[in-house]
Amino acid sequence: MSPYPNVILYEEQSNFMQASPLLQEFHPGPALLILAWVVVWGGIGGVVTPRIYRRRDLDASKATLYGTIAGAGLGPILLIILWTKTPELDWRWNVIPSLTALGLLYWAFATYHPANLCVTSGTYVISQVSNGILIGILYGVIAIGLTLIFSILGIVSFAHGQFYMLGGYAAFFTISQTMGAGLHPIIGLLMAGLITFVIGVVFEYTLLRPMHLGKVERPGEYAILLTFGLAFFLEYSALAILGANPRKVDPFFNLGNITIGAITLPPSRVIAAGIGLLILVILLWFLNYTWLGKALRAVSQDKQAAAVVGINPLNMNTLAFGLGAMLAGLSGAALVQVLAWVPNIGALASTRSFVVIVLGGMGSLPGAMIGGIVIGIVESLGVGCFPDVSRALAYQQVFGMIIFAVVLLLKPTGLFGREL
Amino acid sequence: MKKYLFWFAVVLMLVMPAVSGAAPLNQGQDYVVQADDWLSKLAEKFLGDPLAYPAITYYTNQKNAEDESYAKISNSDVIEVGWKIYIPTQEEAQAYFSGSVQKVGEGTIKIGALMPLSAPGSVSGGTAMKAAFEIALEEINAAGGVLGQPVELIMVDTEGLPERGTAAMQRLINQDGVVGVVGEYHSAVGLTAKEVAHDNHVPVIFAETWNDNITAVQYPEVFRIAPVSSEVAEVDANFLQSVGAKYVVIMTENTGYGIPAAEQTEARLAERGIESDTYFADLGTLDFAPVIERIKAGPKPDAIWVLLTGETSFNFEQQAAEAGIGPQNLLMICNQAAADSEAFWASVPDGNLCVWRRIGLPQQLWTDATKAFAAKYKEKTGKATPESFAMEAYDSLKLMAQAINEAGSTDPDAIINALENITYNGALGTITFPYGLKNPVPEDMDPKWWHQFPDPAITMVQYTEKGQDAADVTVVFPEKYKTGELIRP
Amino acid sequence: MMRTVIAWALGIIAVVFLALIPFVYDVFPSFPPGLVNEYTLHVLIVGFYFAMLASSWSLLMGYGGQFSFAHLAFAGIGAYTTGLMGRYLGTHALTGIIAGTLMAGLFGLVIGMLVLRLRKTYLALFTIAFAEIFRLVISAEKDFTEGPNGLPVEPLFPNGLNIAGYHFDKVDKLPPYFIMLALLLISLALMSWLAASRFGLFLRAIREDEEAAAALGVDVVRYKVLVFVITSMVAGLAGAVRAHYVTVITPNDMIILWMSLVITMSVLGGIESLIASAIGGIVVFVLLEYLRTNFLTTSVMAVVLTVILAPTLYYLSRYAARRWFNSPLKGRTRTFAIIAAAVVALVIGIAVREPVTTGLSYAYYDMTGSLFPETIDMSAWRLVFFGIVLMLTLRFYQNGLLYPVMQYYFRPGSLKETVAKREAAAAIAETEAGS
Repeated sequence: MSPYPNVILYEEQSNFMQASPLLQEFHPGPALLILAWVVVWGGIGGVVTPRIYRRRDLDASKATLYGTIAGAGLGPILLIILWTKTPELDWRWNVIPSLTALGLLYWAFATYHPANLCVTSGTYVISQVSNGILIGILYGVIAIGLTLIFSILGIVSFAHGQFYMLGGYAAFFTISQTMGAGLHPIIGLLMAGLITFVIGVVFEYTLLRPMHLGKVERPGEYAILLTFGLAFFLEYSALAILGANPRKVDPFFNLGNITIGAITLPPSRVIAAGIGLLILVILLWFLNYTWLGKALRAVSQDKQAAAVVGINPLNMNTLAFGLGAMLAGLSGAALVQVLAWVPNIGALASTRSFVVIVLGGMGSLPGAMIGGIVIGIVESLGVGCFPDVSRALAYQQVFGMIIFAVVLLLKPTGLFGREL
Repeated sequence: MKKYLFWFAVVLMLVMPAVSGAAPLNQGQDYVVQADDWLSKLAEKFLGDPLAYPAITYYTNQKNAEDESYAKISNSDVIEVGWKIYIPTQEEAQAYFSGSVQKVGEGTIKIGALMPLSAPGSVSGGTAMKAAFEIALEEINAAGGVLGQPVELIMVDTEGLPERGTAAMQRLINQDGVVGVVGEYHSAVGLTAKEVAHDNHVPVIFAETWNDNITAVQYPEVFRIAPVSSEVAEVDANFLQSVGAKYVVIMTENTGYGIPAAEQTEARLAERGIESDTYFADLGTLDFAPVIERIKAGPKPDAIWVLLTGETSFNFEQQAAEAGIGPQNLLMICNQAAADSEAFWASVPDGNLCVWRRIGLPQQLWTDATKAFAAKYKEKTGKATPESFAMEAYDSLKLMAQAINEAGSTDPDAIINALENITYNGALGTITFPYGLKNPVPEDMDPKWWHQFPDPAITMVQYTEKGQDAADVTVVFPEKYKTGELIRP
Repeated sequence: MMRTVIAWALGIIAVVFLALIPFVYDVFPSFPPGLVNEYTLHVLIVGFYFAMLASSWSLLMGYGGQFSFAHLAFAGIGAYTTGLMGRYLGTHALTGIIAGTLMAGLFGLVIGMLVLRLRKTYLALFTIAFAEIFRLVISAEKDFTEGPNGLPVEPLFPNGLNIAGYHFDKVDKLPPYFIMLALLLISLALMSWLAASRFGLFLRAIREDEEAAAALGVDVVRYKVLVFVITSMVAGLAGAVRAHYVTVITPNDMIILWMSLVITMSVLGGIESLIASAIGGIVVFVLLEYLRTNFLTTSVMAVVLTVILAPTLYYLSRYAARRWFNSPLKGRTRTFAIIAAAVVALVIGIAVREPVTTGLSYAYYDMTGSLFPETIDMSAWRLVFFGIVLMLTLRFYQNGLLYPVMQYYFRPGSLKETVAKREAAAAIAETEAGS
């Protein structure tokens, strides 16, 4: 039958997984019923509510979200209330059903797999969440650069992950004793920021800026494709020049083991998250208290108005792209002490940043930070709670992306996004 | 307008015959070189095509192997008056050019090498193999090449994709006309590449493809010097049994190597009454924290077996140690790549208490060939110890060269025959292939032993101190190679 | 007029050439080895596959203005549908290919209906996420899909094929070659017809200004979904047929790198022309293969020689024309001279490439005492090269590298039109910026 009868690798399948002590009984029956209840009513709410809103000539932009939450949380009861009493329902009508919906999902999960650690151990959940927050802060810092670029230039930079990769390498070659200059980690951070900033500025100035000078019919689309080309170029240049051997530096500071109550935190991540928060504080100071920062925010709000008061939007574009690249580079430098650094490390960071900025709302800085933390927690809990141990880790990215897809469908503006 | 099309056609008609070159038929004959002869002139005279001279070189050298009175042409540009050479028939020459006879390029012997050099393949593995191939090639050519001709190595990137394995083999065989193929890192590629080798009847020596089925199908063309996956699993399970483990966590990668390796290990552990859980991670996974928490919260394992490779393994080991379940407090079988990384020693507490599975002779038993290779490898790549796949790559090429030399020709059957009878001393030790066409695998043995190097030494080693030189490590398992006791954390 | 004739003649010659290539191998055994063999055919077959992907992507992006990074994922859906159906239901290859195409269309419909009502950027982000999820799930569900080991798929003709007394083995390259070529031509014809119809007009209207198009009564979302479904189906079809050709498929066929290469093919060919991006697909894929290890293998040497010889011949003929016929080359004569020079250079390049390569490597051997390092590993550098080319093309030749040339021949005058339009747009933009 098959052209390669010998490719079948799983003769020993029958023995597989039999010896696992973690494999417990599953009870899919009631769990599926609960799940079906949530999904069906959520779906009905999501589809029907906007139609009812529209029929009454109301603003239907949030109707899908409200309807879904109401249906998923309290089923037909709340849906009928929502449909009859529209539109004036205050925030409590969102929060209570969302919590109920989460509770229902958790209940379904608990009945499905009662012996799961996420059901039996509170400490376990807390340690997963704290790990998620730690890594999530860094996802947030990476994504902030992307959202900054989006808010000023109106494009998504597909080369963002590659700047992150570059920042890590810059820091490695500055800090490392054996292969680099052996300088202090702080200098490594600064170098990473500087190099990525310069590359970002040069790229924007030479390649992206001409797109906006009226010579190109659809500048936005070609600009996005250009960042794609840059991503390609940076990643494979790094591979060709630096090779694929992993690089890593020691933790910047020696903190020893950090234990809070029953949970242990990995010191290198705590350092990285600390650096991430520091970067965030400096960025906020820059945006709120310096002339350039204020000019950036002005451009992001209204290009024409900013131009009237004498801010050159083109220069702001360049600055924003450089800053965005620098933020990615800095987070790369912070993470090179946590992860083994390879040229293709950026691809994952890119896709994760996309997820984060959509979740947080495109163009919103606090949104990106909170989106990052949410994704961190979701991925952490997803891997921690997924019933089948052997597959849990393989699905790590999928958990975040499912949240992403759901948010995109229910509330495309994200958590903090402006109206589209 | 018609005029131009006409001239266009004329130009085409003038040039096409020059390319396709019709030629008169002739009989194969002996010829004694006269003054003012050169091979392409003879080729034009007898075969009707000056470019057909490599056929004369090839057939003359073939005759020379049987009959000393024929000259041996090592450089087609240099022939001397009085040499007896053989002019092939038109059919023979055509057979030579169409590739049905294993051809020897213009004065070189072409050997193909497969390795992953770009994603999604393991680039670091492929790069290491490439360095090893280059060392082997230099040595072979410095020693006068093969059959008196320099060896030309054609290295092809397989990207770790099975489909690319087919394409790369087709390219090597059909386009470059190699006489043999060596190398490859990914089992998934090996599985498809062996089919092409079999279809085209070209001998191939696989270097680092562990999958049982590569040799178990018993193709006459397929040889392997890497260990068989199930045999490695056997050793792993024996080791765990010997240390008295009851529950083991296996951390593996979702690849053609990791999946069968984990499953075979699990099955063998189950046979021995050892419980186990397997965690699969995609190659390139960065954040292991959630799964480490999960391991910590579950029943305490007696051992963690890391079947991840490359930087992924390093990420896991380092993060696990940082989270408190590293080699400092339980038996952890780490990936060898980590040992060569300075950062490993700096950031993993008690990293030396890791146990490493090594393929290839323990350092104390290294042959001169191994030492020489290790020295050159260190010079070329800066790595203190050559990885097993680097040694295998090196040996596969040198083995192929020796086999061609012993076969005395590039005829595939002769090479296969030579490989079956070969005794080769290389970096991995003495390589032989006990079972094959001459001596079929007995009924009661697993068919995987076909054309399989039976003893790629699989050992468990431990470092006695941090960052120690790889030469001084202790071999803790199996008994045969043991040099010291296992230090338990 | 003349130019159009030449263009059509060249187009027909190219198609006939592609149709005849495989036979050259069998008819002339003494044809220079290395030019046409199993491997060359393999490269061309996969090149056709990428041509289908690139041209359908340019229908989506160039005509419709919609970004999708899931094009390879749709090809993967086609491939895995037929692969899994064949494996678990034992269906015939043809059934599987049809099912795969429909399945890709179905996925395209659902994704399109959900996402295409949002802004363009969202489609890009959603499709990239979808492509990753799909790849990861296929990879993780290894018990069902064989994961990264690859799912074995039946060959197109498991029992071989008998045509006019010839028997083709199941591994023969000729049947899949012609099937792929035919599919490419059919899908190109179909998509070109679509692009030229009212449908294409609406698409371009939507691309230029969505609101204006909606105001004029175009059902924007419906047309966007429709083009998304059609292009997904073409991708699914290509993927399904390729699966039956390569006979083993893995989730790694769908990595983002290859998606970027499809984009490169499309952009380098010309994003606003289906045929140009299809040619771009074939050319870029062939280059990717041949630049992989080496710049000095004989096949590359032929190209190098051609590139050196063609201008030389052209300038020689120009000199000859002026010197002996006392008439400078211009107009038709010039066009003819250019084409003739290129063809002659190509033929000479192919004819003498072996001896030249050998001579060079011997010269190197004599000078250094070691063989020329024939395998310079270019697998990373060639991608760097394409990254640079992609950026420069986008910056300086937004229409691609091939499309302007084709326009020059097929639609004389359109180049001037475009330039005029650009300048007008630039003038408007300037006045806007000034105010």
